[in-house]
Amino acid sequence: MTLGKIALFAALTVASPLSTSVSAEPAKPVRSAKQVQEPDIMGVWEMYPDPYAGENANGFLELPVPGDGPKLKEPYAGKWKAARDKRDAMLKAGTPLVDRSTLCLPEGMPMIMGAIFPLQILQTPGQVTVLAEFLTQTRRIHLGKTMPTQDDLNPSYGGYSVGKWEGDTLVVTTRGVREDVEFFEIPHSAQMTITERIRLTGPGLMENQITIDDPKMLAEPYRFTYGYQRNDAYEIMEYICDREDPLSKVNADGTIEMRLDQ
Amino acid sequence: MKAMKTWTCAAVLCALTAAGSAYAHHSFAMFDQSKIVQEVGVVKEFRWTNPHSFVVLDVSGKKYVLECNSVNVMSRSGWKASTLRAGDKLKITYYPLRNGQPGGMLKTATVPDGRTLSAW
Repeated sequence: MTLGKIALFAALTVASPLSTSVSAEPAKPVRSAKQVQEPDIMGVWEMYPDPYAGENANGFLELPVPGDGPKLKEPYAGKWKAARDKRDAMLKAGTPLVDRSTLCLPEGMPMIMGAIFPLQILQTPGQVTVLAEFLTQTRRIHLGKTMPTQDDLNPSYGGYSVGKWEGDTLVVTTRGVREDVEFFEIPHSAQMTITERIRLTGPGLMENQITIDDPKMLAEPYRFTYGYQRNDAYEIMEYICDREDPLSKVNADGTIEMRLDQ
Repeated sequence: MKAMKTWTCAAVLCALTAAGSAYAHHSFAMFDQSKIVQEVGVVKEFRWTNPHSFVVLDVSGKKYVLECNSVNVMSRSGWKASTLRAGDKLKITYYPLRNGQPGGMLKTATVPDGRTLSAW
């Protein structure tokens, strides 16, 4: 969140007639004794540093591929580069291609942790839950559970996540992400494993070191880190798309166009 | 088109919308990001929805469709579902479609109570 956004939010809160009935400090749910021993990551988190701050505040930023990008094996590397080159060319021409986000399909893993809009994290006995504002996505991290076998995994957008606390770090392993779930169009196989190391790094700050392993498609593990800043004043809203986007239409060539027939 | 004023993105206008969040669920490439157009018209429709709200504006008998941000971001910029109603006179700035069609991405709107709100 930029300073401008914070200032605007503060001004709106003060101006609201409801503000007298709202506590300045958001109420925090009570945590159990066992949870108190664990780091407190419960709350609302937004991407930090804000990728849309500074010169990107005009809103036209195309999010870059995180880290140094994936080291894919062939033929996947060549195919991915061709897909990205085509995408860039179409953007330059002003005729963007439809993508899964345009269709309001769930982001799934690991894109959901990219926190396009803020994430709310809940810590309850046996589970850490991530609630994303974007598309009202829910992600459950099962603590102390064993990862099912490949055959028992149900391919899904978010996959199946098991977690455990290693000192101050929540280590989360995710498998079973549907092969059609896309992360910057990088292909992945059913063998993909995502490992997250989530820890507090300072007052109100958290990081998520993500490692993607995929022995079939990646030549080496793909590593990058997402950072977050706590903002418990932010109240997550519902975000559910209309069944049919009233503003966009997908053409036969895969490009997306604005509808003007309202 | 004669009454339209077009200019490149002036620093003051860019700063005006710095409070808006940026993310769209699709690329901005269909809009001409180098032009901001000013217009005055009458609201025909205001749809408050996801993935994008929008305004349909009648400008001297010609219909313009203007894409806005999602409900969560609009709310935090001061918009409500009731902010605009059919028949309201509206002054806007927007990024026009690159294909020349009558529409674009709504940047700001001076709403009936006098406030100028960011739509992005």
